[in-house]
Amino acid sequence: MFIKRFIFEFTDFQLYLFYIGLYQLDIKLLRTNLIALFMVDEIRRVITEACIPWLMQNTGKKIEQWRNKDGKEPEKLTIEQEIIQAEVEELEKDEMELFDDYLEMIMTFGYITLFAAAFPLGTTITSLFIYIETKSDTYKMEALSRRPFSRKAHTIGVWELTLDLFTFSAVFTNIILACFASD
Amino acid sequence: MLSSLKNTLLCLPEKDFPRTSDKETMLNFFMRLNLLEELVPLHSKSRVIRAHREGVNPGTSNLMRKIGKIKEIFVNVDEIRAYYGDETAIYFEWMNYFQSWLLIPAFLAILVYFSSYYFDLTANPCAGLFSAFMAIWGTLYITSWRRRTFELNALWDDYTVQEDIESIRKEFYGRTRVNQVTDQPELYFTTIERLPLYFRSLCICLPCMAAAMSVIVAFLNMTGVIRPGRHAYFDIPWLSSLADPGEIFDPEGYANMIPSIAQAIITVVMNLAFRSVAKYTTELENHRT
Repeated sequence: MFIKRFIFEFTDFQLYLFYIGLYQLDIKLLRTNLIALFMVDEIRRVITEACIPWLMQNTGKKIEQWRNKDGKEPEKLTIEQEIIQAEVEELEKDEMELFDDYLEMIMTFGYITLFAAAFPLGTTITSLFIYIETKSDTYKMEALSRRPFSRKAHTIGVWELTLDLFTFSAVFTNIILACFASD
Repeated sequence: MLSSLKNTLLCLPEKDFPRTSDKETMLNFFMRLNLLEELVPLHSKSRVIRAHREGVNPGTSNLMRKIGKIKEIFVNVDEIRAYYGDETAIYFEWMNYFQSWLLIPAFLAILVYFSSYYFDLTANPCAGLFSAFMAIWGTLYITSWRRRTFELNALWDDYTVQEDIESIRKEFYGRTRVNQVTDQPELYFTTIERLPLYFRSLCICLPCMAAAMSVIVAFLNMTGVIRPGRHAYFDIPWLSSLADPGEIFDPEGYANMIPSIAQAIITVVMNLAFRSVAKYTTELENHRT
């Protein structure tokens, strides 16, 4: 699962950057592509992770309220009923998955280390994005998904491997970019 | 739920629901009779009660107010760990660590950015230095993160962790055998048995990846990155001709933005599609956890 998705996202997002950067050695083009990628990626992330589930849940509730309007007023609930209602609502929510969040962060790590020469400001932007990302993640966890099982862990697991891979190749891409792509 | 079910048991006929001992808990009782399908933790109960008592909106929890503060750059990992457990906390711990390490290059990058007013992009010595710095930074970051994980191992009392029974997937199938070390029966599925399953998912995934590659090549043609003559292998003439000067996707014009944006959107869609493919094939592979 992990290998498959990683390779796929990698081909999707980074292979053509490699192509531009290392084969054509066109640092200006690489730069414009990176900037576009950064912007689109982060906007998409916030939208798909927080905004869309929030909208879907809220419109669902709105429709229900609108339907209830035809009938009588909703009765005042006792605390037990309210708990049960909240629990049923929560059961309908999706399970929490950190897989995609990890994948995205690792990909960003890839951009900023592999193509550091092309777009230094990427690190600054990433720093800002992480700030937004943590906020949206906490919100997602709290309000939009079911409570996850707590498990023991003290490493980030298999993701460490990809970090290794990226830093290892970053040495070479940076050498190539610095030596050949600049005059 | 976990308390003993002496009284509850008495309500049930003994013929259909055989008893073992008086001290059996409800959870074990349900599990023994296969009445339990799934266990799900929920946040709602305590929140609703608290909201009732304090008259606040149940949507905003105490934790959210503690960790979601706008002015704080770092997430309070201890709060998250106390409520969500280690697996979620480690993600935020990693993000915090990444963030704190990023502040150095982020600051340097601003300096490099200002230096670019004095130098041309391709001849900027600062950019070269910066890229060298980033390569070293990456390595240092990983090494020190590893140190941090060992620290966490001790701090979070993790060194006694073993794979627990709950983490085995429901759908997992295999032969039952007796573990020679613990003498406990366990389900068992060898890697050699799994090989054909791997091959099957490879067959499903390769075409997907090939499709993704070809879509990217097509877009690179349209945006005028791949020009005829320079890269004979990947050139698709009728697409790249669209990016000729004077045609609709002329690299100098504004219409060139259209394929770039379309590419971004299509990659997102493809990723979503591939996510389900990957999930499906991984389920077929019958992994233990």
